[in-house]
Amino acid sequence: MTDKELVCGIRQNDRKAIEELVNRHRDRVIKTAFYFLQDIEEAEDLSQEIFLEILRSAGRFREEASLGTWIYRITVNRSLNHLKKINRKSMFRRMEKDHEQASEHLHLEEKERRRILNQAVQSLSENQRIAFVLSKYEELPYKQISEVMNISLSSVESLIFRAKENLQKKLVRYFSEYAEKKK
Amino acid sequence: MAWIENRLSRGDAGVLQQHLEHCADCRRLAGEFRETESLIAHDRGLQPNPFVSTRIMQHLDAHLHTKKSRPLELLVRLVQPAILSAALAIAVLAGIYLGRHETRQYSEATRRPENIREMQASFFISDLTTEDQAVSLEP
Repeated sequence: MTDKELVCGIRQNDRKAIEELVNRHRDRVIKTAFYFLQDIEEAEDLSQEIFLEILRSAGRFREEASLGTWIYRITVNRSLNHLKKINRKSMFRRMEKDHEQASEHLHLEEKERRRILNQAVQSLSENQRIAFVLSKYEELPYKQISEVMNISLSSVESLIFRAKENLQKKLVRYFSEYAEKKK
Repeated sequence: MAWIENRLSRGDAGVLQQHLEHCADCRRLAGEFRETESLIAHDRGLQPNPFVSTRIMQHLDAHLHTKKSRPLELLVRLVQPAILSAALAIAVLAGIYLGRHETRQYSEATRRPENIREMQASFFISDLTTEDQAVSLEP
């Protein structure tokens, strides 16, 4: 089924088309949501709402961008909206708790490193975070990121450059603090 | 980060490498960045639970079912108040009609003069006391 046939089928509530959509894009949706939420269960729960929104707004899909790009857009927006609903403090507490539970087998240093990385990424501005996650985690080309975010290619390059700069500064500080604590 | 991502020129990479050989702090930091890069690569390779598809489809099926019954619900929601309003209007009109019909019969009956006089007489007699009645009925 081509993307066009898939979208036609979804608009007509064809169950086969919807199943095909879920099978094709499930991993992409869950992983992207996870990169923002840093909680795989929450990402899986949110993916249900994301696919529901895809179904509901299939009539508005204009085919100017590809189906994948459109799905990324919805996934990023829903993930960020979900994050805003959660209190930031409780999110960090959750991350620490999840990392304690889920990564018991990991060395303490690795757990701490993951916490430091998540903290640094979450501290970026929203646009920098989106651009960085889509580039670094999803490994999307800059052109596709510009379509997802609806900004120019040069804006994407600028965002990613600044995101990496900011991350580098924050990570150097956090790692130095952690090394001091260990002494 | 450029060094971790192999984006440095050969010359710059060489200079950095030489520095790292002599600077323990920078070597440690470089190590941390390398490990962080591994973490990101690890997350990139994450494989979601394949059974999530079943949950997603169940959630979507519920939505599809709601969507199918929605036109019927809409019809009921539109028709019900219309039927109730019509029934109310019919009841009011029926009441008005019946009321007019009864009033017409009564007014027709009271329009004949002899009837009015009989009625007046009967009202007058019923108002009288027993004694008065006895007096008035005397020839």
